[in-house]
Amino acid sequence: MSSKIKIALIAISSLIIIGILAWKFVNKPTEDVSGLMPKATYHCQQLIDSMTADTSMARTMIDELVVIEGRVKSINKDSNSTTVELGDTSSMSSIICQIDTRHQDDFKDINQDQTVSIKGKITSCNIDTDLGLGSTIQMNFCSINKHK
Amino acid sequence: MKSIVFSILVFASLNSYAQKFMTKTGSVAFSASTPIEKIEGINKSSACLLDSKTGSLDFIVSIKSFVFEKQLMQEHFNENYMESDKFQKSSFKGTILNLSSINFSKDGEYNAEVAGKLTIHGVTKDIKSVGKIIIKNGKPNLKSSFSVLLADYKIDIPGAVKDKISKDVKITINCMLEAMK
Repeated sequence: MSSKIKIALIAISSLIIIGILAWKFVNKPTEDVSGLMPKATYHCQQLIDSMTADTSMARTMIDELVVIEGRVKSINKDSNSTTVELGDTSSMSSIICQIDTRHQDDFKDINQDQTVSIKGKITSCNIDTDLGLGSTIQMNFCSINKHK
Repeated sequence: MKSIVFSILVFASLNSYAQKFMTKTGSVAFSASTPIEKIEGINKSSACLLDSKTGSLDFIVSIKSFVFEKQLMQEHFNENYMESDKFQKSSFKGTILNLSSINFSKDGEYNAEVAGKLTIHGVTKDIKSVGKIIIKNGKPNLKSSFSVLLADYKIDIPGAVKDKISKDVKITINCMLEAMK
């Protein structure tokens, strides 16, 4: 095989490999954080109280991976999503957990009033002062915590 | 005397349905898809508050709580387009214009006209939209779908991807409300 043909084959192969890698990078699904170590574990009410009392702490917690233990206040399930609200029924404040669709099955037997341990990324903390909604912490990419 | 008692009871029963409804798990979805690229995000932790007495309607939506299928889309949405570190929330504060035509105590499907202020990416604009309020077992389910122009809210689309992202974004709302205790 002449050296020109060899060079052409190497160049074409390289382009194909780069193309495949680029396609994989662009189409990479969102990260499954269920297997990662969380930064900390909190009880639901403990985290709500801390973030309500200290808004600077609330800002630093955004994007952190944490585990929250608490009672299920409500749970909404449909064919392609599950959302769990943790908190005390006597308070408007709560933590809303959007369950990662890859881990929806973890929650098929979870019901209201059960105590659960959920791992997820904190996306926001909203302290409402005028609508009567209390403090709300939101989490994404949630799953049942399997680390003890 | 009987008529006074009867009137008080009727008045009380009517006012028992004049109450506030809310959810913290409302669904807000958006689509900026084009024939080249499917771009859809969904947020199922949106807060909504409806006062059936005054017709006031409030939505609070955390931008980082939108979920996408692809990692790169999730990052670009937050870092480049919505700048969610700077503008953490979008909100709507408005009123149901045809409140008198909605009977919150009677199951049924009602058309609703809503007007108010929509804030996205730090920009607030007056908007008007229509939707449906479906009352079932005394609980309102709010559904609506409307479009917004990204440019109106100072959301810039880089030239390199202008054919991949729609200039106007379709927003779909589906919120099942419960009576506030």
